[in-house]
Amino acid sequence: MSTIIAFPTMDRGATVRPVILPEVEVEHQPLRLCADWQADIAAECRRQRTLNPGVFHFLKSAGLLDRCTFCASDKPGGPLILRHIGVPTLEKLGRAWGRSMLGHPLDESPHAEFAHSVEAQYGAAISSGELLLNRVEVHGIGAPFAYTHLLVGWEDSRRRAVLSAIDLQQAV
Amino acid sequence: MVVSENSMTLSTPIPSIGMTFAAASARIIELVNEVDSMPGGDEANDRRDELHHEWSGLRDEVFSAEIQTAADVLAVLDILLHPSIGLTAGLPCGEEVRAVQQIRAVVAASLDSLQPANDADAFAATVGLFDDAGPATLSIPQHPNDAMAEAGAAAVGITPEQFRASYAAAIEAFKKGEAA
Repeated sequence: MSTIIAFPTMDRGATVRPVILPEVEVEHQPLRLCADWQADIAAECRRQRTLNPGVFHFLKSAGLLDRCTFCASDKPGGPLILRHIGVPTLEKLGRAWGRSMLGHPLDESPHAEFAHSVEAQYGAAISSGELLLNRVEVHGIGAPFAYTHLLVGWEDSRRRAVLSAIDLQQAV
Repeated sequence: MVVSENSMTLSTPIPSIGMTFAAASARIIELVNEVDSMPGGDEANDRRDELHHEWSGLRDEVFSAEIQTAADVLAVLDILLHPSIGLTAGLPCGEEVRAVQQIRAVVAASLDSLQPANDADAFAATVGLFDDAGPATLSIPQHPNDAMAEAGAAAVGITPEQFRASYAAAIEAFKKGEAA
């Protein structure tokens, strides 16, 4: 059975609730439920250990870059900034959203609650240093949609980066 | 002399032998040590000559190549400090050698201290690669949706599958153009 996790930045000190926000449900899942291509990315990132150009070149040559959203801070301790927005994200949030957000911090997104949830998940992946697989279901931004994303986080001298490898799912 | 921190830890290739300073130095020392460990006597002479020929040839190439990085410096010092073929070959260890040994220790320590900076550079370099790729992914749909595939196929009398293949090829060409 999967568990539903409340991320600490959302509601510090509150008791665990099954739904963090009215719109966004996040379920933490075991990595064995990754799609094959997500598992390939997980294996490569484990092999590379650090964030280095090999990670990018793997994604590019395997044709998987399009499915990935990537964020990194500009300076030590800075906010996560959208650097590459994956096609699944563009399909669901729209190209206009993508154009206005590329190069901007996540928390500037007009979909504030969704952005906060995503940011909390990214933060958890970065600070845990573990690969994470979450199933996310979103209601209230266009038609309901669902996806899993494999999250790989890196931290280096207080600079942070995260890769989200997105597999769209059928919304329930 | 190359001064960028990033490149100082890498040893420079020597084209004439197809090896870096560091690789050539390690090979020379390996060959010399093999000669040193061989038994005396005439029967090993041919092999000894062969090894000598190989390491002395490599050494000539290393000494005539232009040292460019701290890693190259370290590689050359390792040859100069070798007890059989270095500065003190056949001589007792003097003050001069101790000075060179100190130089080697300082160079080695500063190389070690540069390693974390290299990791940080790799981090920034990778972020830069994603930055460069971001606009291309954003600019047009990477995959046609069903309506696009049907309309595109009908317009020229091909199947939607053929249109998808054609579209994918066009997108790849577009991305190559963006990257250039």
